[in-house]
Amino acid sequence: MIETAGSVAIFGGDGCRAARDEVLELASKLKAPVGYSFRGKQWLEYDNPQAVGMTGLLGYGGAYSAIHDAQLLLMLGTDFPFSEFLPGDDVKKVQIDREPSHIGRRTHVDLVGLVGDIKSTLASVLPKVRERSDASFLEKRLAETRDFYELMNHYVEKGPGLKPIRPEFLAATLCQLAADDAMFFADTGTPCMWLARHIKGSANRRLFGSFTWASMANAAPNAFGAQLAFPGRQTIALCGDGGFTMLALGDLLTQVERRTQVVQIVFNNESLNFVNIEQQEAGMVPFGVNFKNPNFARVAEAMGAKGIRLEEPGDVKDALSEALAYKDGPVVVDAVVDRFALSLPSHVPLHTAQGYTLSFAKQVLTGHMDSVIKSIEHNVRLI
Amino acid sequence: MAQTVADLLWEMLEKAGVQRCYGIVGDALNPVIDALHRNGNVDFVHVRHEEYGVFAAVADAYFTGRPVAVCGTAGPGVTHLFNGLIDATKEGAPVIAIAGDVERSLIDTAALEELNPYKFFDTASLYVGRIVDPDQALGSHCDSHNDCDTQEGFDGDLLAGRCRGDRCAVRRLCSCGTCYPRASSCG
Repeated sequence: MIETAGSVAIFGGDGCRAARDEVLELASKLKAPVGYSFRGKQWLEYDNPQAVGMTGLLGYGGAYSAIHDAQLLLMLGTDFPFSEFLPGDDVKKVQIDREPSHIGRRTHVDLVGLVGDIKSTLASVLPKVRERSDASFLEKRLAETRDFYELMNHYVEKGPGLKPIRPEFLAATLCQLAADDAMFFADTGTPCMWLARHIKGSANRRLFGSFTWASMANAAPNAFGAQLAFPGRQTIALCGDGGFTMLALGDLLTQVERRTQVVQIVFNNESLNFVNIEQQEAGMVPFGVNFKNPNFARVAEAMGAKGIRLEEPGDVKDALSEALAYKDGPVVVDAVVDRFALSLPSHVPLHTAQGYTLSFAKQVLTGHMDSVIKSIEHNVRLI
Repeated sequence: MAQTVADLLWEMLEKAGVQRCYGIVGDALNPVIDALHRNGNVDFVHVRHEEYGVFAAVADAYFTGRPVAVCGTAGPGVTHLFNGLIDATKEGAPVIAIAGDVERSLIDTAALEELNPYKFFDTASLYVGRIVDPDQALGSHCDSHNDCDTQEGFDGDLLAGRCRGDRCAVRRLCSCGTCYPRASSCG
């Protein structure tokens, strides 16, 4: 099947954890673009010249078109749950997973479903795979990926001059400053977007979140547990302000008592921002998503942690450097970020575009013209 | 002092690789915590909310590959564990919950803080055991080790064992030596 397919794409998940070398070798032989789930990103993206990003709501790069336009898709160790971002019957699929219930659960697998470990399965397949010379399918997806990165980086490059602080700029700066073996945790919500898109992995970096259950408020406790397991290793929680006030705040006291070196970066936008986006995507006027926050840096200081309030884009680098260098206990960086920063997936389904149009129209009709103008002003490059 | 079942519990968990237990103490759990204190080899991480402790345990277990314990006491303490335990199951993190329970004579009587652990933990765990008699400690093996995934030990093993006072039971580890404990207890 692999031999007869004109173009092949790979989509990998957490099951590729121990099989990075085999997946990359297979991709190299097949000239196949490699897309991945959030859980697969940390194993398959870094130092991979054929990486094309993620599909799904957090998607970026050429992953969506790679897996939809290929004649054959190899799904390796993934239970990626968003079926609408996976191709239908017009793409032939082979799925390999050690868990039988994952086979064919998210999209119809018409060719072969194999139950097995990715590393050993690929190791036995690799000698039989013919090396291809035509890389045109791959090149096209890599070009799309480069284009998308350029778009994504617009607000990173303009970041130093934009106030309120753009979350993209904050995350990208953090990525540059963090250690090569840093562990990153993201709350479910827009912090996952900034983690997926702007934090680059490496052989030693780790990225984690509530990727499958998608609970709120996971990042700070995840980071706390990781720091206890690996004392002294740089540990960073990207917290939403909803998650931070739900669960992280009370147990900041636990971190103070234990003097755990956890850097909590609160994306303070006074909104449940991902839900805000969801509601607009559905054509609703955002409701129940806004709230007021205190100055979290002062709260943190009162609790015995180090607090850093961050409002000026020009201070981002120094504030993050100071937070990462602090060794005497937990840090809370209270970053006031642009609440209107939209994060659209690389593939925008038609209903999403219609939903935004509808939502903007409804907001105009119901007297929320200000927020429509702000959304458009703040996202000109993305719309 | 004679060794209690709770002492055996920590001995078992320690042998399985448990180094930390995150949670909050309280009535039904006090004998377990007393035994943990005597044991001295498992770090008790007192958190302010049980759910915080479970999310910490999830990352701890996921990245170390070792099982991590969490605990909450009868009723509301137990229910605070729930969201984190589902997360552990979904992320494949080996987390073992030690849940307090009402006294044996109060089971199924709508007593204060009483709940049915089998119903309650059903969706959040791979295994649920309720331990009410010290005899349950005797030689009971992991009966499902063929289901255990031995690859790097990242299979999600969750369970809630329950007990009363200092007379509750504990199960032995699977003798295959590669899988995580399938049962535990408290008290």
